[in-house]
Amino acid sequence: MSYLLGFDIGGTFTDFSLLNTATGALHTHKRLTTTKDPAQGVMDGVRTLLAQNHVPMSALDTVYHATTLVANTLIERNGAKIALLCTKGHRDALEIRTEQRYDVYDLFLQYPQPLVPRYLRLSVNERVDRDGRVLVTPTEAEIVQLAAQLVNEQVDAVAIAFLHSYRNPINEQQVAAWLAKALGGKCDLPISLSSAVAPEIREYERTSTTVANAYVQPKVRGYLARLITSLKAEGYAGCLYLTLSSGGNASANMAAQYPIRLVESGPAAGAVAAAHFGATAGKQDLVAFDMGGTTAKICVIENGVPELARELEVARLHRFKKGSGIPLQFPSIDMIEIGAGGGSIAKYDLLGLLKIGPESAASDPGPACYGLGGTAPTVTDANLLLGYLDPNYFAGGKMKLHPYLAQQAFAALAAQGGKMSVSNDLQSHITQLAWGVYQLVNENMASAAKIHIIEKGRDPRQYTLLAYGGGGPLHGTSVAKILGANEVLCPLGAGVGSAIGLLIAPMSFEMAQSYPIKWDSVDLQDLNRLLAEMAQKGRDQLLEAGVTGEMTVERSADGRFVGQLHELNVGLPNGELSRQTQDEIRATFFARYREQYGHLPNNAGGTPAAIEFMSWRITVRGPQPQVQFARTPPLAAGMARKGSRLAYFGEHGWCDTSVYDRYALAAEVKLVGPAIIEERESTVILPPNMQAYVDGQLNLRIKVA
Amino acid sequence: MIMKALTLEILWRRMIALVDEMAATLLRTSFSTVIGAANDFGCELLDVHGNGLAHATRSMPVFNLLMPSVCKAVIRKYGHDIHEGDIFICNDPWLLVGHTPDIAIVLPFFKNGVRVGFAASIAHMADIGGILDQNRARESYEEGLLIPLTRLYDRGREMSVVLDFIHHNVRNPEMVVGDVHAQVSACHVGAQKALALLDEYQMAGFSELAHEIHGRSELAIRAAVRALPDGEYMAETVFDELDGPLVAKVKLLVQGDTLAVDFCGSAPQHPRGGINSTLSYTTAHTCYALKCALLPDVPSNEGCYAPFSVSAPLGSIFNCVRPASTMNRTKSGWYIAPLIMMALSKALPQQVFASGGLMGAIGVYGREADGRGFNASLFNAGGLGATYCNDGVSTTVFPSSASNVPVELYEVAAPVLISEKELIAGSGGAGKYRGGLGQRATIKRLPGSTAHIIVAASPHRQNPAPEGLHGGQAGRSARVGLNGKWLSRFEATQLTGAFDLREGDELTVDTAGGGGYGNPAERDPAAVAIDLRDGLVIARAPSS
Repeated sequence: MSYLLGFDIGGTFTDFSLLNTATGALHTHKRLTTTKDPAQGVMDGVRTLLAQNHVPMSALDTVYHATTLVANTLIERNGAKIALLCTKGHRDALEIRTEQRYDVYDLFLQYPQPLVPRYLRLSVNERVDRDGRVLVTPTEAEIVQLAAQLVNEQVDAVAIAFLHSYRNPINEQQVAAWLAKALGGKCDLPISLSSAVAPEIREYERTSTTVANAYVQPKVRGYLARLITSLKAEGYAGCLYLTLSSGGNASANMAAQYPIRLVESGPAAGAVAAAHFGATAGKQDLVAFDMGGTTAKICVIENGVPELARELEVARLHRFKKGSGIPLQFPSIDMIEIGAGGGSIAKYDLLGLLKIGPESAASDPGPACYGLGGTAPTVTDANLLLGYLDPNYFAGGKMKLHPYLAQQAFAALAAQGGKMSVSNDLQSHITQLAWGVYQLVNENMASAAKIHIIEKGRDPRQYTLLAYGGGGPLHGTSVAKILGANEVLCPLGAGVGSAIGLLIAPMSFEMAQSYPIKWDSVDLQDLNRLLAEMAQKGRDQLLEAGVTGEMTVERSADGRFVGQLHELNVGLPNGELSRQTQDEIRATFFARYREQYGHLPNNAGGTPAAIEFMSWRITVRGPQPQVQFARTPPLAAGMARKGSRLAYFGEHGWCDTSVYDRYALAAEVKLVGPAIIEERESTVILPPNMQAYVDGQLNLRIKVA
Repeated sequence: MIMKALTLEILWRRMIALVDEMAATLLRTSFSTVIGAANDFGCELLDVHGNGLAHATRSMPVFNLLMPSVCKAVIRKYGHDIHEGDIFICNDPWLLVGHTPDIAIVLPFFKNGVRVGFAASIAHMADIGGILDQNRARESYEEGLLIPLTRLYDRGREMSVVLDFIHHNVRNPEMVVGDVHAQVSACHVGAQKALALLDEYQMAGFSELAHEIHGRSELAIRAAVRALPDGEYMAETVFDELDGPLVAKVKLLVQGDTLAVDFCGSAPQHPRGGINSTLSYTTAHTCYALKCALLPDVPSNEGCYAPFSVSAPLGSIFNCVRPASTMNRTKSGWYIAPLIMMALSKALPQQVFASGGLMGAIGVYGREADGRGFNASLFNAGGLGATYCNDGVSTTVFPSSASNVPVELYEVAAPVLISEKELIAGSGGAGKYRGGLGQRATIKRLPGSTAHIIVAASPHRQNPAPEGLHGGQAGRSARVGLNGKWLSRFEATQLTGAFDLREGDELTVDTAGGGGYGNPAERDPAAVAIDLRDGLVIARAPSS
């Protein structure tokens, strides 16, 4: 018998999944994260899960892992002491940033302090020009001196980011080699090169990514080494793989080399799981909607694949203000994060408008109804007041909710609304307010989702909404209705979605390389050589990670009209590029551009202007793991209806609403709203006028009306 | 009441998202570094009367504030002669943003044949013709093409004569005409989405929404003004960016919930060098600074500016009359926000910041060896002024909301090397909270290039240095250096307005540091130690 094990370390919980590859039986487990040493909680959890299912460590075939370690290290700023070597005259690129204010009316705005302080940003006398020509060659003598300085300062890692190194990495590579030699093996100092970590034009973003990589590297290395040692000590003989922000899995070695790519590890695994759940229902185009305690995440899945973004921003000072964080340049599953979760706090702002979040009561003190000392009215309190949550079956009954505390919190909110509480009927007013909170938070999520989808040039009405995470199924139907989506899909057991996603993600490696080419005068031989080199590098990475079987290579390029400053990504055909494919690629670019912006800029003569490609992208993937989950047969169908309670639905008022046990719902069962369907980790709300049925994979499929 | 607030909140948010989409379209389809990298543009949606409803989050606030005037001018001029498919164009400095490179595009949009609103954008073109050495222009006639308010599209038909005029009067016609098209695309995107929004919510037009947005915002700003004690608040400075010192004076008169700003006593308009502000430009900068200090958190719209009135003597540097030159109007106009901050600093010490280092641009223009034209601007920000609770942020643009152009993109755009772009140690004004640092940028030719390169340095804050507040000291002034020698202010304007960058030449622009806030003696010793460690300040030997 062989098993796959996955674990996803989140901020609060660590989720586990264990799959019997022969039978498809899936076992899950959840425990609190041990923040100080996450590996300890992992090992405890693994032991528990294995023992519960009588599986010996030696029966584990492969272990997969996602972690918030990197994201938290950046947010909490407890990474390594590092140094940055930069081109002489440019050592402040990291601190000069883009020079733009991210909020144009805020005179008090602040930016994150650079991850490497100025005194550890050291200049090297070197220079490469825009064409990759070396203008100034560095000298070994200078690097030997710098090495002494690094030893003296006792730095734990080094980043090297020189101008135009995306075009020619030789100076970075030479300096790294001299540095390693000068340090003479005295210390195993990891060195991150910008030409390897993020070889793309724009010095601030490239430097920022490289520095962040160096900053988290010693910690991730140490953590992974400890984890592997522990697993081995318990008898595990296989490999450890980690999920990257792109949703692909990578070897522990590669993760240690490019640890910054782990920054969205968990959410990326969640998106992969969403794509999988969608596929079980035969749905290729989805909006994955994951709502948790503090935030909701939304990601577009098209043709069964989560969409990728080329860059992301982390550790923002203002979570929802773009530009207030650290920019990172590498492919990452394109998600938007909205300050809307169960813990989001409702209040009136100075214009008398009701606002939800982004402040969250989180888990400490938590929503008022948790009874843990929180007094602020939250989304979870609203859900309880509306009858959507059962105070005695929250988290499968492990946690008791207190309706009267939610009442108190909302009465206070009503008072804050001042003139709005003239009504004598406080109770009815509180209900109205809770309904308002429920609607507003749904509107917030839907409008953010809509913008995200529309910005991609898509129509939200063409998608099925896949609701997961603790809050997703509670709000999914309403969000879908606002979006105009016609179906909501609630998979069974999506509460540990990320841990399941880990097992499904293929091994992959993504690379980008800036290499500007005017398309009309492209040297195809040269370009084919570049693309082949990139593909080979990716294959080597996967081979080293132990991938066997067929690998697929996907290629794309970022193009623009000559003279523009922003690019559009277009896919490239497979194989050697020829004169014919050159024309096809141009046509594809025109079509994409027209789709996005309406019309093509023309030359004076009316012909489309010339185009150029700036960066080349390659993804190499291993075979898609063939994972089958066997669904536990439902309990006897007669037990499905647990009873009923009053739940509030806007213009329908209070409705007597049937409550069903999700685990007892067999395939083909049909439900008519209003209804509430409860499982341990989440609750599905089926509003009046909507209908649902259970499909063969036990997904709950809701037709939005 | 609850539902109303709820609907309003959603619609308002949607409007802002929608103008952000306009901005993304313009940014991503433009051809110039000034728009595509530096964000030098604004986008706005306006109601049927031309009152601003929402503008793009990070686009130029001053541009956004002037789109209502241009839409209202369209209504005044064309009245009932405005039709579906019409698009208007204008760059009149007296109506708009004070200089000819800023072109406005206005697209009225219709629902069922009835006009319901406008989508508008203003963007800074890489070129508009006229004299290259802007310091030498005497009248607006030397400052390029002036496009009076006119139709660019007539009921859907492009007025090719307008584009032809532009094409034949600017230095980089493909770039400029391409950017005008990008503006048109952005307005189309805005109008389409605004109409879809009306359909989705089954609204006939924006009047009710406008009423709510404007009404609520006006209440909030009036409350903020009322919180200011009645009386006069004054500030003055003497600035010198070209030919000698000029006085800038401001008086704020607060009466109840109204605030009148007057620039009486400021210098007369200047006979050359384009350093004059038109009243429209002066008004926009004044309103912007007041909003930052009084009501930063409400999304900007017409209502936020209702209590303000702005006046300046006709023929003064803040209300120049035709045909005054205005190309470098930032060299007077960017002193407005700091003056207003100074005037309010006693009454609102915790809502203003000390003066900042503004920005210094380096523009290059010419032809590559292969004949391809280039035209690129490197925007280098100075340091922001400190506040009552924080050090000023280094190298950040204000009161413009532009961003820089990455060195690598700039070098790809033109055959030059930026040999240096670094913080200037000691440039932030001392204080309990230190001013942000300015930066030094040095440009030279790309070795081996045979291109003809004309370079222009445009520093701000050469004199006076950015003032500190409440005991904080001034930041260090901006300056220009050529081939290792710092130029006098006079030399700088004579030599570096537009000159040929030859082999071996090195032009350096230092931007100014921000002013400090509070007594330097009260600065946290730990902060001083970090400043010293990081070389942000220069250690001084104890004086005997």
